[in-house]
Amino acid sequence: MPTVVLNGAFVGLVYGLLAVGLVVTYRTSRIINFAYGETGMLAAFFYFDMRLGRSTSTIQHDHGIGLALPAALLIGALIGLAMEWTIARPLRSNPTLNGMVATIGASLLFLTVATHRWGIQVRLTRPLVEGSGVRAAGLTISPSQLLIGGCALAILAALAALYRFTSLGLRFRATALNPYGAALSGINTNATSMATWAIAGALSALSAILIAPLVAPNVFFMTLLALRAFAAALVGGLTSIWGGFLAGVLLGVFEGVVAYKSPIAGVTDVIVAVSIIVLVVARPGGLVRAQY
Amino acid sequence: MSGRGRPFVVMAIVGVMLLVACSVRTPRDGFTAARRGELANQAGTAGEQAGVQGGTATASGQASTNGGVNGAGGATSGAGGTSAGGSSGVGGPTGGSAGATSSGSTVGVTKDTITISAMAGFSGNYGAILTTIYDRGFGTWVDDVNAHGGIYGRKVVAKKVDNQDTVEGGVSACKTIQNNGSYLAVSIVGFGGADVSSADCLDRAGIPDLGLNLSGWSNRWARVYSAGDAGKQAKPMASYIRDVIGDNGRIGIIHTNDPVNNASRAGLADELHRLGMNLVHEETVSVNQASYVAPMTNMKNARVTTVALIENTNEVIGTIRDAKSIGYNPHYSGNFWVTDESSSGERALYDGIKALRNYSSTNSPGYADYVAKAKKYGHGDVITTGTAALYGIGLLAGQVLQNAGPNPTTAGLPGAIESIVNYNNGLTMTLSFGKGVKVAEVGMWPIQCCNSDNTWRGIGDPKTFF
Repeated sequence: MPTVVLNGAFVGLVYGLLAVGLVVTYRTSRIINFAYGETGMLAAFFYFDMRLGRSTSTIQHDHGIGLALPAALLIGALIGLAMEWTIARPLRSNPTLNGMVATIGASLLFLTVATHRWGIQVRLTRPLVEGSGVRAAGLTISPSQLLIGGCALAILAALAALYRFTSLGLRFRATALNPYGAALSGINTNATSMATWAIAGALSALSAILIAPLVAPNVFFMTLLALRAFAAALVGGLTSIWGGFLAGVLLGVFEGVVAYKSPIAGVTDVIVAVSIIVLVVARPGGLVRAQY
Repeated sequence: MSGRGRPFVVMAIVGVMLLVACSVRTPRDGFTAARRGELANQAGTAGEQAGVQGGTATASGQASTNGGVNGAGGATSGAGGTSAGGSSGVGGPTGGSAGATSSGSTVGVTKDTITISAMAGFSGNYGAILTTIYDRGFGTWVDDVNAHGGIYGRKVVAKKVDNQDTVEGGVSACKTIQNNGSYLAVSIVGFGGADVSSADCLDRAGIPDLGLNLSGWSNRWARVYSAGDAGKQAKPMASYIRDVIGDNGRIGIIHTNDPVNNASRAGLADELHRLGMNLVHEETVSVNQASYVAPMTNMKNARVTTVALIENTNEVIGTIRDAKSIGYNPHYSGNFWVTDESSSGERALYDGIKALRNYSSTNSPGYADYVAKAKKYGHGDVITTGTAALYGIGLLAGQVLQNAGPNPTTAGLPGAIESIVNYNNGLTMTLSFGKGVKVAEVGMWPIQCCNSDNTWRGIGDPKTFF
């Protein structure tokens, strides 16, 4: 059991990391970005191309991460900006449901583009850090998993500092709390919205690049992971970055324990989904309420 | 989010999760799915061609109604030829055409041409890949057959029909085939229910459908034939584990919860029980699951010595990787995920694994023959075992046309398909239909990871039982 719990915690870090990006976007735009996973996937595949070459099944060369990683983060940010410009902003005065449906359309578009560009086979990749990992509780924890843990904590701390100690963060918080009031106070809400979507896009790219070595990445690899992250963000409270992250970690552990203990094969997803329904009904505001 | 919007979003997300849990398969393993049914082969081009030449023939031998026997004449001349490159010829089937009506009255058949339709999701998510392997593989077969005079003197006209990988697209493909003047419909692959909806529609329309990789089956279908049933493909794995891998100890199955893998799992489990082998533990996983530590910990605790991986490529990689992370190293085997594309990337994980595949490997004689022909006809820019498999499907289609005889009729087509018995073209799985049999028995290729170029290495002939 300790092995399963520990592994679940590391899986949960992935969900938590993705949930954080969703929350960042939602706080400002009130839109759940269903293309969040695909944004990261696109950026990650460009990263693979830049670093390792275009072949999906062989590594033609390794140019390292020096250029590829920043470029991929930039691509993620640009995709985020494009979505803000084409979806979030034009639909701001419409019901939020419209914006969410539009992001579903964007996710399908991204998948189609990616499928035609890279196919559907598993992409050979290489982790950001190599090594044999460390052994704990009967589990070998890979350097990639450790890196995800470190990055998740660093990103959370950076976001906390951004929101708490900078004027940009103050504008983010004001826009999140009351966009109309923020605009009346002279805050350029378009700019804060763009910055938010760009940050979320870059975050999605970084998450995908970190996660890819842990799974067998093809163009769908982020889609189902993001679905878990949506659930975590909801359970966490949607507006709380810490809540989303915490819920993600808990979801990972819960999922692992259910899969390990369930006497009936194949019901893990059903149990997890039903549990989420129960939790959200019992605590509609989520586990953690946002502190603006 | 407003109080009103939130329940909607919750239900939407949970609904999608449930859908995934209960789910329709989302194929991610590239060519794997496309290859699942592809196994067929043809009985040898040379033989086929011989039949073509000789096939001016006549009705003299055609009267046989079950197609199992040949009559004299042109049909016979096609039998027994060996395919170029050394793949064994079909052995002899052949058959006479069941009907003796004049070709002029048969849809899709003229004095100079015979038209077939090949369905796949050419505009679906995998459209680019399918188009590539179809054009190179199937296209090579069409060019080769026609360069040798066609089938009984008729040039083959192959129509590419898009099923869009949707249920509606499958029906639309069926309607297209009803109107495009095709003699035979071949379903190469159809995701999202396209293969089943097209098969159902074609059956109702009275058009025989040779379905490769069908994701579903209905016993009420009268004119649909399944080559590459998922359960049939898994059956040989039981004796393979016992007699080739050499483990008659504690067997486990881990399978992905989707229709194809569920059917495959059932076929393997039945065969394990039939052979009295010890199936001690089973695990079910989801498509693209994030971690496999829990199920493989259960396998380890159950002291499973050989794990049958009835999964897609992504899940297999995660399963083996996570098993290693908990210090668990059993024997592995499997089928659908065994692609050369994945082995090049995951050589370290796969090294030494013995598995089964429904198409041959790069070191098979049939493959070398295909490569030579692909280059000869200008399709050599993309050559893989995937394109070779599509060439093999062409060979199978050619064998059916050959078996239909020189004066093919629609009524005789089922007999032509059922006369595919002990069919081995050296490229795809072996197939055996038989009189009244609509789901073929399948022989699978034994392979092991890997050749020096990281492709899977063939280690014997395809068999239904090892």
